[in-house]
Order: sequence, then C-alpha cells, then structure tokens
Amino acid sequence: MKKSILKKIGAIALSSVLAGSIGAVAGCGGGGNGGGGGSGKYAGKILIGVQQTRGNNYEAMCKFLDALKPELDFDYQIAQMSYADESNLTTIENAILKGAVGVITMTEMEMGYTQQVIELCEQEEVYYAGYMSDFWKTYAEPTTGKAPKDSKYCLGSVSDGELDAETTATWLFEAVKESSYRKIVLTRSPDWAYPRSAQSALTFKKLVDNYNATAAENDKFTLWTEGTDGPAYVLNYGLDAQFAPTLTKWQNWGGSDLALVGLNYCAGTIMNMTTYRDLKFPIFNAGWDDDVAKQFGAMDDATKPVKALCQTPCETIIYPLVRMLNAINGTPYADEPVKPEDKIVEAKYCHIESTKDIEDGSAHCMNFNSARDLKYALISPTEVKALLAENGGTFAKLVETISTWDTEYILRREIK
Amino acid sequence: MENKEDKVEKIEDVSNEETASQSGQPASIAAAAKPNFGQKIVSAFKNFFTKEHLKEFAKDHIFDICALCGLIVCLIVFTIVPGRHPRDGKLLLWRPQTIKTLISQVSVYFILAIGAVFIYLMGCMDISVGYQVGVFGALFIMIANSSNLFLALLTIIIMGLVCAIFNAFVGAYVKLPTVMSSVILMQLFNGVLLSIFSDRNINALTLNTDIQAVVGSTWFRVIALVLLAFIAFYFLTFTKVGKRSRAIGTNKLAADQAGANLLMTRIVCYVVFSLFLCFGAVMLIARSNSIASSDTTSYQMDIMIMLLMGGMPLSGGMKGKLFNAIIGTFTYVLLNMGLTLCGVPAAYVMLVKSAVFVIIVCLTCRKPGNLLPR
Amino acid sequence: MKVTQKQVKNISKKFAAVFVLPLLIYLILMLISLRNPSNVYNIFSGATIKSILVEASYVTIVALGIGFQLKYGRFDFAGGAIIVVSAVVGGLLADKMIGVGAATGWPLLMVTCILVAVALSVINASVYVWLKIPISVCSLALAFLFEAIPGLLLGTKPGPEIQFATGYNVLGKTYLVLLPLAIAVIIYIVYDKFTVVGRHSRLLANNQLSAVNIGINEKKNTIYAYIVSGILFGLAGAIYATKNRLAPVEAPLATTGTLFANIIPSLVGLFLSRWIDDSAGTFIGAITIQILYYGLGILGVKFGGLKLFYAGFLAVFIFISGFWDKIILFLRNLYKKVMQKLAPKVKSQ
Repeated sequence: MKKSILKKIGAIALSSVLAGSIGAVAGCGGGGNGGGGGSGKYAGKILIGVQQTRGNNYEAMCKFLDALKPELDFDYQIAQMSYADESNLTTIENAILKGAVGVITMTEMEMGYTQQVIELCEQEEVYYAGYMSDFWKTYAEPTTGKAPKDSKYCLGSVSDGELDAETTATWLFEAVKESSYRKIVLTRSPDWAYPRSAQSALTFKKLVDNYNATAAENDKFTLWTEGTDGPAYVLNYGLDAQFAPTLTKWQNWGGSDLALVGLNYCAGTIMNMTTYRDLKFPIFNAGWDDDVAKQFGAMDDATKPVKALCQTPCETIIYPLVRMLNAINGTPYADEPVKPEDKIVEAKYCHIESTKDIEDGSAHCMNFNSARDLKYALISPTEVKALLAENGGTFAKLVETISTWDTEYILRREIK
Repeated sequence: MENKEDKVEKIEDVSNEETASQSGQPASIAAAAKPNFGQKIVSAFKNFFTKEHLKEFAKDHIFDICALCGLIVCLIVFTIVPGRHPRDGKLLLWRPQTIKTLISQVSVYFILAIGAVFIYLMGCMDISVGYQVGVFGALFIMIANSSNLFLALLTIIIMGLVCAIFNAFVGAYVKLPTVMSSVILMQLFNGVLLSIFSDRNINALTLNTDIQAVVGSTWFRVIALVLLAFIAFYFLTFTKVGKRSRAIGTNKLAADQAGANLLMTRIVCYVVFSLFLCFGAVMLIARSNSIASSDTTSYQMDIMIMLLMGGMPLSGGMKGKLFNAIIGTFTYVLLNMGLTLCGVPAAYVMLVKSAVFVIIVCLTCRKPGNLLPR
Repeated sequence: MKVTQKQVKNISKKFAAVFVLPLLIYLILMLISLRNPSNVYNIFSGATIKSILVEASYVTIVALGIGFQLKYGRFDFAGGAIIVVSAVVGGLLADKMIGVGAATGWPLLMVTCILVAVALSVINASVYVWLKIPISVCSLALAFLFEAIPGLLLGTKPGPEIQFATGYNVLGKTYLVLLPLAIAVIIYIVYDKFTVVGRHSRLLANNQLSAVNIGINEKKNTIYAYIVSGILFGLAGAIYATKNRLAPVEAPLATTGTLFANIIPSLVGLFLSRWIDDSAGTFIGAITIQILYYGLGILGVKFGGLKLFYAGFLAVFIFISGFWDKIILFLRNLYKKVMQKLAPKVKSQ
C-alpha cells in the first residue's frame, strides 16, 4: 500500500519536473522577444537553411551576416537541412509558423515540396529565396498547379558556380591536361543534386576526344567506362562506404597513371573513400570541403591527393538577402526582373589550382582565411546597405556586383 | 453452451419474477419497470463517477491517465511559452495555419501508429515499416503515372498482403524473434528503395495526378483519421481477432490452449497492419504529391517511440490500447513542433524528446517480480 | 598418437564449419566473374583481401557486442548508440589530451572510447536492473537519450578529425585493426568459458528462475555482462571514429541501423556454435558477408542489388538455421533411400 502511494507520488513529482523542465527549456529558447520576433526592425527572423553547420563557407557566412545585422537591422536563424525533403518541409513549416519573415535555403527541394512551401509562404506572406542553388528543379519543370516561379513570394536564387555546363568542365580538363595523369575516372553528382552534371560530363568527354585526336599515343587520355552513366560515374551521397569495391577496381586499372576528376561537389564522398581506404591517387574536384582542402597539395606532392578545388564566396548571400529585405520593406527595385528566369543570378567559382592560390586566398578572401577576417570580405556592410532599393540600389547593380567576383578579383584584388 | 447474453437475460427474468413476487405485482408490471436505454446511460454515468469506481478506474488506467496528462501539459506549455505571432498577435499554437500543419504532420504517423497497434498487441515488432512505406509510395507513384490510381492502390495492397503473410509465417514457424522477419523485409525493401532511387540517380518521384487537392486537404485528413481510428477501434474491441491478439500478447501458450488459431490471428493482424501502411503511404504522397528516397527511413523507430510514449507496453497484451497510439502520436509531433515554436535549438529538441521518452518508459514499463524481465 | 574415426569426424566438422561458407561464396563469385578476367584479378587482389579482412574485423567486433547480449537472452537496442557516442566523446577526449595531430594517438583513443562505452553500458544496465524495465524498451529509451549527447557536445562545431589523422586512422584502415579484434575475441571467450560470472550468465540464460533460486545474483551478473559488452562496443567505437566523420546523430534512433546491419554475423556465430566457438563463427559470418559484398561490388552490382542480395542471404540463412535439424534429417533419409535403391543393384552385380 505504502509502496503504491509512494509510486504515485513519484509519478506525479516526475511529471511536474518534466513539465517544468519542458517549460524552462522552451522558455530559454523563446527569449524575451516572444514567439518568432527577431531583434531587428522586422517582426520576425529570416530562416537560413544550410546543408552543413560546419566548414569554411558556413563560418564565413555567419560572420558576414553578423556584421550585416546591425547595418541592415535584421535578424536570422540557421537551420540544418538534409537530403530528406519531408524533413526539410517540416523544418521550414515550423519556422514559418513561428513567425519567420523569410526563408533562404541552400537546398532546393523536389517540385511537390517546393509548391507546398510556396503555398504556405503565400498564406503567411513570407518570402522564399535560394542561395548557392540554381533552382533548376523549380524553374525547369512545366507548370502543374501552382507556379512557384511566378509567385511574388519566390524571389529567385544565386547559383553555386557558373550556370552553364561547360566552364567548370573546361577548367578541370585544362588542370588535368597540365598534369601527367592520363587514365581518368570521371565522376559526377546525381542529376537531382546538380542537374547540369550530365551535360558537364559530355563537355569533358568532347574535350578529351578533341585532345586525343591530335595527341601522341602515350599522351592520350583513357576514360573509365564500366558502370558509368554516359561518360561519368555517378557518385551518390551517403553511400560512399559502398564504393570500396569500385575503388579497388579503379586502382587496379589505373595504377600510378590514375586520376579522379569530380565534376561537381562530390569531394566529400571521394575523400571518405580515399583517406580511410588509404588509397592515394590525385583528385581534381569542383567544389570545396574543409577536409578535402586539408588534403590539397602541389602536383608533385604525393602525400596530398587533391590538386584542384573551387568554391563560390559566402558573400553571394547578399543577393537573396537584399532581395528579401526589399520585398519585406515593400520597396522593390525600379528595374525588378520581369521574366522569372531573370531572377536566377550566376555566381562564379573561385578556382584553386596551386598552393600559391591557397596563400593568396588566405590573404584576400574570408572563405579561405582561417580567422574569417571581415577585412577580407568582398563587400562591406555599408556597401550592401547601399544596394537596398530604399537607398537607391538597383537590380542591375546587385547582379553586376556579384558578377565581378571571379578568381582574379577574389584572390588578387587590392585590399583597402 | 449458453453464452453470456442468454445468462444475463435469464438473470433479469428471474430478478423480475423475484421483484414481482416480493412486491406482489404481476411479472408483466415488473418487466415494464425495466429501465430504458436512456436510463441505462444515465445510471452507467452515475455509476462511473462513484468514488469506488473512479478509484478502481484510476488504478487500472494510471499509465493511460499519465500519458493523457502529459499531452495536456504539452498543450498548456506550448500555448503559453511560444507566445503570440509577431504579426497577427494570435497564440502561435492555436492559429488556424498551425493546426492545419499539425494535422498534416500527424496524419501519416497516426495511420501508421494505429496500424502498428495490431501487431504490437501480440508482442511483435516490425522494424521494416519505414522502408515498406517508402516502397509502397514509390510503387504507387510509378504505377499511377503509367496507368491509373486504382491499379496502383490495388498493387500496393497486394504487396502488403504478401508481406503480411510472410511476416506471419516466419514468426509462426521459424523459431526466432518476430523482429527477424522484419529485419529481412527491412533489408529487402531498403534494396528495392535504393534500386528505385539511388541506382537510377533520382531523389524523388512526383505523381502526375494531383491528389493533393483532395486527399491532402485538412478536412479529408481529419475525416480519414477519425474513420480509420473508429475502424481500428471496432476491430480491436468487438471482433475475435482483436481479443485474440491481446490474448497472444499476454500469454501465447494460454491463448493457444484456449483455442485461438495463432497463425490466422497473426495473418489477419499483419494484413490489417499492411493495409494501414498502404493508406499511410498514400497520405504521405498527398502531403506534397511526391515521395523522396529518404522520407520514410526513420518511421519504424518513430512509431515505436510514439507507441511507448502513449503507454503501450512493448510486450503487448491486455494493457495495450488504441488510445496509446493516438496519444503517443500527438504527443510526439506536438513536442517536435512545440519546441521549435519555442525556439529551442535542434540539439535540445532531441534531448527533451529523449528525456520525455525515458521518463515515460521508466514510469510505465516497469515489471513486478524478483526476476529481471527479458 | 592414434586418431580415432570419431576424432577425425569432429575435426572435419569443425573444418567444414569454418571454411565451407566463405569458400563457397568466393567460389560462386569467381565462377560468375570468369566472364571478365580482370574481375577475377580484382576479387583476389591484395587490396580486396585487405579491405575484406579490415572491414570484417570491425563488423566482427560489433557483432560480438550484439551477439554477447543476444546469447544471454537480451535484445539490446543501445549498442549502436553506444558505439557512436563513445566514438564522439572518446575522440573529443583524445583530442583534448594529446590532440588530433599526435603521432600515435590510437591507443589513447581506444582507452577513452572503452571508458565511455563502459560508462554508458553500466547506465543502461543500472536502469534495467533497478527499474526492472524490459531490456528492449529500456535500451531503446536510453539509445534515444544517448544519441542526444553528440549534438549537445558538438553543437554546430565540427567534431575532431580523427578520420583524417594518420596517428589515429591506422587503427581502422590497416591490419592494426586485428589488435582490437583479438582483444574483443579474447575477452569474449574468457568471459564465457573461463570465468564463474560467464557460467552464471549462461545458467541465467538457460533457466532464469532456477539460476536465481540456486543463489546466483542476477543483478550483479547483469552489470558484469554489460561491462564486458561495453568494452566490446568501446573497441568498435574506436574503429568507428577512424572511419566516420564525428557528427551529431540526425534522426532519432538512427543508430539502431548499425545494429541491424551487423546482425547477420552474430546469427551466423550462434548457428556455427554447434561446431566451433561462436566468436569464431561470428568472424566467419563477417568474412562471408564482406566477400559477398566486395565480390558483388566488383562484379558491378549496384547498391540496391547489394542490399537485395544481403536480404536474400539473410532469408536463406535464417531459413536454414531455423530448420537445420529437419534439413539434416531429410538429407539423411534421402541418403538412406538412395543407398537402399542402389544396394540391390550392387548385390545382383
């Protein structure tokens, strides 16, 4: 009898502690602003959905945004996105319900989920934009039901790298050509991650064929053909551990003449495969990962396999941010784009091909500087503020600013 | 052998005769004094709220009451703490859009959880739920896009039936824990999912026919959930299969010796479970008219957590109820949404959910006796 | 020394139990790969054999941890979470003490991971023992709780880069992995066969009530068993840290996937325990799975196909092990019938 009473008292006490702790933790998270209120003049935060909460781009972006916050008087909140669209949809839904005024996402979702988000944005009057995404899925699929690209709440996106399929493939081909490696495994990301990757692979193959037509016999390129989709082998995210048998085959085939060319960001997959499998063949990769960058070495450095990298600077976030602040203020640009396709803006890659490029990057760009020093930001907070429509900024000026950020400018401009 | 109802009638007749003989009235007048349906309801209501009955009810249903109280506490906390919407000033949790989104997020879990009750009551466990739903959803879209919706639905139902029979037979004839058959199915369906998505370099499949407008509407969801809950309730409470499934969970040997056909009961329960999985897959597709490869992979564990949060014992038996699934589902989804509305960082959301789960398990799953439960 | 026929029979049974399964799979794959001679080379190349052995060692340690509790009648869901959390926390501790750049950091990593794993296992055991919650439920709940730890410790910062540190990752990608494997096997065998505690655990597994009635302290015994399984999971955690990026767990109970992905070797071990020690059987199971996986991968089977083969293998194995006695009886009867049919012919000749 006593035991059962004690058990019940214990149950009630635990439940109260539980309720209290939920309340306490929830209260701590809510803060004094109440609900989704931000600390800026806007009654809500801007949700920024990122693919990973680590790495040079993330750290530099956060530092840059923190510097912009007091100047542009806004607040933001980071959310980790995943490859599961259902989970991303839930994250965005909850943030919008909480009172977010805008959503900037690095992950572009499949059409059905994007439509859901746009519908919710229209009901809640929240703006949606992309960062380091070309919104290809949203803009390429025919209109079925809702047309997100026509919605005034969908503000477009700034891409991660050149929008055409040729530039990156050409750059990588030139980099490999300079080296002595002639047995190439060409890899690319799946179409759903980088829709132009298939076209990029075809461009690379064409360049190889053109080169082989005039090259000496022992200087000709040979591409790996087994298990490929077109000219390239498709590396799938999250399944890198299952590439081990394929890696063995590649190494046995190519030997010391083998090089791997990654047409899109699949370096993480490649690094997992190579470092932990203790395989050392050179990797020429488009994209960036901090772990990959640590393995970057000169062409003659056999201990460091990565020979080429590239990345778009974090400052390109000004495109979705400025467009969003204009929209929330109700002050669009005088030269606002009419065609939905014009809302997609290109950001160029910064190419890293040598240790000198790494050194120059460290002294000229926040992304590549280990301390993420703000003095190396490509644009100052004051200059960003001047791009707002209410301060006389124009869409053309915004696009032009981003288009000047190429490799030469990023690595070798004069720092004031 | 006369059944209970005949016995009750006979007792009533005897009592009427006794009343008649005691009061000196004829039996017909005594019979006429029999209470009508309305009076029966009122007397049942009064009897329920007597002190003794309430005490006994609380003693028998202490964990269900705790689970319900937990949900109510969550509702109260998440009403107060997130505060009001910064623009329209309404309470965040009770805005129409929030309720609509909550129903949308709950609907799939709800259907899967009430389907899972049928097998959890028998003390079985299925860890292939997520992959099964993923495959059913993918196949539904592929078939619907190439022919029609009806054929697609029929195909996945047939597939579900095959899986159900497989699970039932393996559990009945191969002397291994029932979880093993679901491990096989998990690996099989994982392979099928990978073959459909990763091996073909696609991340998601989109349905060409827009079912979102109808099936994805809030009213349809609410009606479907209520209807399915009622069907499940009827099945579990008023049919032999429902009662036998509980008996199997309590004591398989005793149930077998009492005449319950174990194999048939398992088959029927797994079939019902599979049907609910099919409905769940369709409801998931209706959320966004598409399904992605990794949307459903964590469902098996989510369902288990929800059932345990609602007070369902993992060994099944008489103490398991549909109520556990309903309360557990709402508590889980509400915790997720509510903590985000409160601005709790993602790392702490997982901590709070796990702490709540641990506390509930500690309170509700303890076994008496000297021996450690296995 | 004269060897009796019975001894020869026993030795050949053990030999068959050890070698038949992996050799059979290897043979089948080799026959299939004959179409493309380079595949034959790939399947037998040094790199493949090394990869198989290294992977199988890690899988064996995980499977030993799972099988250890299965053997004593407990289905423990927390193994995967303990491996991941011990890897993260052990990695953080090792990084704090000597740094990721240390030349030989792997012994310290092993020690820290084992300590963390044992602590978590003891918590698991204590909750089970004192609150008397069914182990599957208890371990599930605690796995959920343990999975929140990496997120709290790491937050948004990356975990220590053990995976890319040469002083650490030698443990997981070279033959050095055989050292934790040897430790795991020795501990497993010593506990089971050479300790009183191990014998008590077996008694409790066979007949819990009788064992308690004869005076075995079930609670103490359970705690000891969990300390041992903690050591096994700690060793697995150390190898896990050298092969994977240390990051928070994304979805609730995602670590249970580790459990179910590595359950086949424990089942094979339990089945082969009729003829050889179950730890050896577990290793054989792990080798077989890795041969299957590598061989099919080299033959060009894609990921979906690999999983389907895995599921098929699991189904066939469970069927065979479940009906083994009936299968043997059927084969014996068939053999007798065949011999009977042949016998009159021989006599008439």
